[in-house]
Amino acid sequence: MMKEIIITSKFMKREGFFLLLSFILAFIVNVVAIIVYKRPWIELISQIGYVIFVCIIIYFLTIILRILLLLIIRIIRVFKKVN
Amino acid sequence: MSLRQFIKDLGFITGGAALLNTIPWLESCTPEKLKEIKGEKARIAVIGTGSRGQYHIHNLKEIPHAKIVALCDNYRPNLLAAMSLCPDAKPYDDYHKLLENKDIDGVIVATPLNWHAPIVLDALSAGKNVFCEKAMAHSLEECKAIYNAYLHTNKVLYFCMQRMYDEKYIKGMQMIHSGLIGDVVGMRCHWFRNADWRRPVPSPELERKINWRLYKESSGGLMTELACHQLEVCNWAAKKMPESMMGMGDIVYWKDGREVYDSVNVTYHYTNGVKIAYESLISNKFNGMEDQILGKKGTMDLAKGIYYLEEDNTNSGMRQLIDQVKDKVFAAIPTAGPSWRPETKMDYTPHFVIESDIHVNSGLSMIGADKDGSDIILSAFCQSCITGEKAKNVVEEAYCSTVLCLLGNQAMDEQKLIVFPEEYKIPYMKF
Repeated sequence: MMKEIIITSKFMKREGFFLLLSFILAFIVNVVAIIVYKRPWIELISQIGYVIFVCIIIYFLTIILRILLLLIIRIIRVFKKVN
Repeated sequence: MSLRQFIKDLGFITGGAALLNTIPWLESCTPEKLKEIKGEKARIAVIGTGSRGQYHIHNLKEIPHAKIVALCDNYRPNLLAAMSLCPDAKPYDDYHKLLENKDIDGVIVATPLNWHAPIVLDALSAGKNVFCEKAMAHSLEECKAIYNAYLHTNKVLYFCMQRMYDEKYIKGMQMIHSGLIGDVVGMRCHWFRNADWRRPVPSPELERKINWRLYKESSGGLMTELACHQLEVCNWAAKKMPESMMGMGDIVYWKDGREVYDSVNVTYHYTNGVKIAYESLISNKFNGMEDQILGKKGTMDLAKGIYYLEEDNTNSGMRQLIDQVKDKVFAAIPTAGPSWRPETKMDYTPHFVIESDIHVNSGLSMIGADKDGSDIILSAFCQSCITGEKAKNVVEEAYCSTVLCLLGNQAMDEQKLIVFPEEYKIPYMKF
């Protein structure tokens, strides 16, 4: 039998929060790039494709980081139980 | 494209002194001067009605202020072909007879190179305005004789330096001189074809007459036929002349009895250390024809009407940032410094010099590319035939580039460094 995966509203809220955070970060990167490379401010809108691309990369990085963090926490817990 | 449209596309406005300062040869054909000749027609004769002569005939027929009145060729099939294009024109097989005709304002010389000097000098002496194909002449002495004749005549003399009338070259040069690509640090011109440069010969005794490009008695080979235009472009960009040159030339592939090289590499050296690397080969066409002006900040490829910037700030900030991160992550070689990095050619973003379509040819045509300025310079000549106004710089540019071609050939023949001879310097030249 297949395992049922339940997506809770808590999970969705959490992931939405990380996605929003990633988008804000990507947007800030675009602002910094515009200032550093002396580009017109219209790129805040015209380069939205790149912003979304960077946002997705950041989001996936947060997933990897969170998985790593979870693994470390579990290892520590197992280590504590053994001792 | 008409002469009027050409000048309009260059952004000419009435009394546009700023524009004419950079391209003084257009002073003789401004829109105001075009209005003055409305309704008048220059009576033109074509001497040499082979492929290039017929190409000019086609262009002349499109010029409203030109009328072809005479044709001359000592090779009957070419004369007949030209007569079929303009049946009203009077045919000649001896150019001396044609020059005696008082109803001719200007002659177009599209003959083999060794005939340029005799015909141009005779035509000027006969009081005709002259438009001659490039290169100027077959020898340094002939070039100097034509230049001296030009100084003493009140007639108009043009050489078909069509790049001077090509919008993409004019605008590209303006960009170079405005500092777009930074200091000019080198020039790289090449013309590659994969064709034998031969034409079919109906009988063996006509070989040298028809395939004149292949024999030293009548041709300067790849240098006078191809390099001439490209060297002119380099000097235009550098605003000066090279002071020495060296090179190597060989018959690498087409060992068919020809005398001129089918592979040439010549380096021209300017006093500031900048060099032109010129290369032409007619047994491989991978690289095509390019006139590249290399600057510290970018590269202008005038033949394509495209420029590339070393640090391309026209890309969006985000794109530049991503490219920089990508370069840092993937291009670093941890075991060695940056000098060990193999700098394979990058994909630069092309920027176009002009908006409209750029006309390029396959490299196989021996006649000329479409819309390469040949029609415009011809139209300017016909206008000058009516007004009597000389075009500035055209003869001087033709002289400079032809002399460089001939000296390039000398360097290859003698396999030694040639310093520009004092006796062939003219006041127009800056070294």
